[in-house]
Amino acid sequence: MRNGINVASISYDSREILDRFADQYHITYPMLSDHDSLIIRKFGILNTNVPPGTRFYGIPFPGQYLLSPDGTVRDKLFLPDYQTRPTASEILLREYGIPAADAGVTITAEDVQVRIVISDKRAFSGQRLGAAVNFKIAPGWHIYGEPLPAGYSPTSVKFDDDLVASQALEFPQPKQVKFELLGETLPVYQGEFRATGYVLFKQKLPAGEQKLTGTLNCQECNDKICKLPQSVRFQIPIKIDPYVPAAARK
Amino acid sequence: MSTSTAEGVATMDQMTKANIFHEVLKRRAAGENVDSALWNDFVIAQNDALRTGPRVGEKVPDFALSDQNGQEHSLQQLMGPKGLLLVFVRSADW
Repeated sequence: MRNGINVASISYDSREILDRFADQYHITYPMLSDHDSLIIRKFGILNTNVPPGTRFYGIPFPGQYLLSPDGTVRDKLFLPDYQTRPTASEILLREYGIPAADAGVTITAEDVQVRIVISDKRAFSGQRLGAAVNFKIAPGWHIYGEPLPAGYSPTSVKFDDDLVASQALEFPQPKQVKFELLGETLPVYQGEFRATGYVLFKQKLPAGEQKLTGTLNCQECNDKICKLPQSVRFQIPIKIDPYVPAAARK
Repeated sequence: MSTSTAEGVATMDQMTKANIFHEVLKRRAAGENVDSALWNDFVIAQNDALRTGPRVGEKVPDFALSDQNGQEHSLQQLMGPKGLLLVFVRSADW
């Protein structure tokens, strides 16, 4: 349970297969067996592209629903990938900004504290994880959004491309603030805010302990002075799991 | 992921998709390589006419299923105080 939200997975696997998987990956939440795909059909997400008669017939289009206690869909995420793993999710990260306890790093850059988190401490090659950046800016100071005139540095967080195939981070709308002394109106961020998105890991990564690295760029100003733009490197430890084909596990 | 196609609308005919599936499964079973063009078609075929089920604001169907330990749970029983993250996966086996 995270923030009062439980987690459960559904698949067409038998109880035996789910039991073995839960043991192997230390999964404690319920993994529900929808062996004849009746519930998958009831939800309307049976993958009808799979030919009947093959062992894969009965799979759903994979995705997640965040449900309120009365069963209403609050948010959902469906991605056409094929290495979905039932783990901490991008939706929880988007809603709460805080996922697995220490899958992240905190950078303190003078008057800005930045916490960069990813939604799990482990990933397979080719997996997509949620990413969030939580900013806490000291009172009186601000950093910049976009678009900016020349001479100011916008805020960005970019993961390096040695492990990451693609990434996206969505920043909230900055506030347009008029600076009398400068005679300009600029898009700024103040106080606390969060950017959310994802990182997609490359295929065929070497398994084992790796470091997800990147750079934070920002420029802190108050209404009188600007500090020099900062470029701060960060790293988050991550374990890349080897993808074990089903046959090898038996 | 196609964002320009409406949900549930196919871009490939059923026979083409079935052929792609059978070809990939055949090669995999024989331990043969699947070239990137075929794999690309396979990914597109798998995700064609993607349907995502109940929409935001709608209620999901009620159900009761057993878990990995043989224990049965209803939707209400699965709920935490603030709700439930329900994850549909293809398989834990492959």
